Amino acid sequence: MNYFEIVSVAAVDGKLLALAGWIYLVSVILISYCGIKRRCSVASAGLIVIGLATHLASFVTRLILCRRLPIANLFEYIALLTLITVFVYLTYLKRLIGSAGSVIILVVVAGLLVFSPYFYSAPSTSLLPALRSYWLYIHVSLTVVSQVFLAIGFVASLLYLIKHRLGGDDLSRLDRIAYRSISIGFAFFTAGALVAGSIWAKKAWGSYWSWDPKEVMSLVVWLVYAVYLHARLVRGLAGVPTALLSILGFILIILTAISTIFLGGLHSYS
Amino acid sequence: MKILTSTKIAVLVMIVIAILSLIGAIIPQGKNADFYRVQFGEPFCRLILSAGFDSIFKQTYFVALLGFLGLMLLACTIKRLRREIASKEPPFIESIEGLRNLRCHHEVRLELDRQETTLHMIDILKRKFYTTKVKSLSDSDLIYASKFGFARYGSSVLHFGLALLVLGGMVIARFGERSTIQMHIGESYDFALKDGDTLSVTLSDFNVDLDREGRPIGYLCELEILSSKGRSWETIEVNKPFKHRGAEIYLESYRPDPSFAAGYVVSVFDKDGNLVVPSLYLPCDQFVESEAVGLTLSAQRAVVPAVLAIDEGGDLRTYPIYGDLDEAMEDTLPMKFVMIHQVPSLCVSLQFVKEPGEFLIILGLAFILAGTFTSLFLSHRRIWIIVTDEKLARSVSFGGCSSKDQQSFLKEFESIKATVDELL
Repeated sequence: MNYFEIVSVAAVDGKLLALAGWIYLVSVILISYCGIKRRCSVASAGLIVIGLATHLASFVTRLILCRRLPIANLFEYIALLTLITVFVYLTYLKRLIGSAGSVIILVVVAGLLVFSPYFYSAPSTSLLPALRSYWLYIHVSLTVVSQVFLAIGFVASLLYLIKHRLGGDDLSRLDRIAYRSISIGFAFFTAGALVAGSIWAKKAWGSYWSWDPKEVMSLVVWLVYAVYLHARLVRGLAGVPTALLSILGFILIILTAISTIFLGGLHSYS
Repeated sequence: MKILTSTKIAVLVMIVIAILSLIGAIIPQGKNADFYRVQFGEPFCRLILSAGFDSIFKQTYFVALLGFLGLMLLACTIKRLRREIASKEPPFIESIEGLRNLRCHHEVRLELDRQETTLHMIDILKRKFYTTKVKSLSDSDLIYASKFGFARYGSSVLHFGLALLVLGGMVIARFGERSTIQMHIGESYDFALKDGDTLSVTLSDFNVDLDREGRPIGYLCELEILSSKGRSWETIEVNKPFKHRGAEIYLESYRPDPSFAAGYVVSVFDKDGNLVVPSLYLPCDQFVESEAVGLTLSAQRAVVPAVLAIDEGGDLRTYPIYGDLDEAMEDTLPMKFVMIHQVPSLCVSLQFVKEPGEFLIILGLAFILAGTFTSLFLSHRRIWIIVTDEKLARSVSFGGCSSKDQQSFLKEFESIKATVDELL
């Protein structure tokens, strides 16, 4: 067995992805204990980069094994969502949200990755007939991008609530980050989950909307973020209530992603 | 009108719809009372049935809420558009004090004549893709410049798109048709179209591609279509439906149908009970030539299946297919056919759909996309300029603001400032 085969088998078993999760988790512990001490900060950043490399290796291996963009089931979706989230965190978000925000975002990512083997599905070059459409790539990739931004909004809102309780001074900056992230996420979610999703549903199932559990859960997510955007315009609702809405929206996103396990429906293969 | 355009009420309606939708997603829809009793217990079962949570998306209160939200969206769109139309006149600012109250503000003195100064300012703004309007007064020129003006219609476009979506959904729910037909190869079905026209569909063929593990990776069916346009042959598969005059036919799924034989696998014996052919597949819908038997054969699908055999002289004979050899030996026929097993036919599910409100949905989705991105990503930028005569020089005061993305506007304003300062 050569090196690539060893790596492939590890990725196939979801072990490489879980390993990336554990590496992120160690970096979280390091950040939590050391705060902003320079030496620790360098070590944790190094660990995150190693984690990202492991994560990317798992993704690329699966890409090669499947000979398609691996976004056709829950396991592949989690791998891509967390990969983009860590990439955005390292390149853009880290300096905006500080160590507390880093801990939140890395805990969510590491949690999803450590538990990813439970959603594992073997790599397959063949797709189910319903998934054989370019709409798969449009629908899923736009939705994943949206959820990365909504996750950033969640982190900023959680930090907002923590700092609001502790009497922090940069509340308006966190609120602005949350609002801008959610605005971008909402637009991509509308385009990917609802517009592209319903056009594809029409092509595949003959109906734009079927009140399928996952469709309904996505509608609920969309409504929660629509309420968030409107509530900011209502006096008395901006601030803590909107931050709570942002957190609720992200919890619903996670529940929507895994809803097919409990609720079944037309999206059962995802 | 006030209720319909209230943001607070809109927030409330969306929250209620979200909660009801969540209930509808968690509670399986369209099941019978026993299912809910087993899953949730007697008290919850009673609550589910009495509140209509078993079919929540069809309940009058849910449809009414959606309709109310649609009305609110329309009212909000109309209100905003009326406001925009009412302020069609470019909003010139005539006092320098007014400009000083804006988020960005700058003042310079240029030693050019008034007309030249105004033309220079317009040129600078046009290079930044602003559209400009000028108003000349006795002692000053007023300039109003605007960029991405359509961004202010973004949320109206989004709201209108959502209203269209709700309307389209209601039109489809009221006038749409949807039926699932189970067909075997060779069977036909007539679908009624508008104006009394009929679409006659015959399932000519059906093929399934399997991967190495035996999982289906693609299936397609051949349809013979007879319509007012004549006869045609169409291939449909999942994600590739057939469309004809507002009607669509979708390939939904397939399943083996044990009640409908595609053919029979039989053993052939001679009149003395000696095995001639151990295993021979006889399809129901076509004849096959068997050298071992020396006849052209086909199976006949019936309550008691039989073999149709054509000998060299062209005579057609019918032989029964027996369940076992003992039963067959009671017959005196020279050829005896004993069933090994029946090959079930594949039953194909075709979905016939008519959605008269589809164009509203497509239009609504397009508006939603355009509106969402316009309202969330583009900011309406405005700059006002006053050029006044002051003895030998001209005083240029200008200020601006942006509906959002202030930092980016600030950068642009600084760049305009720098260009104006170069004129000094």
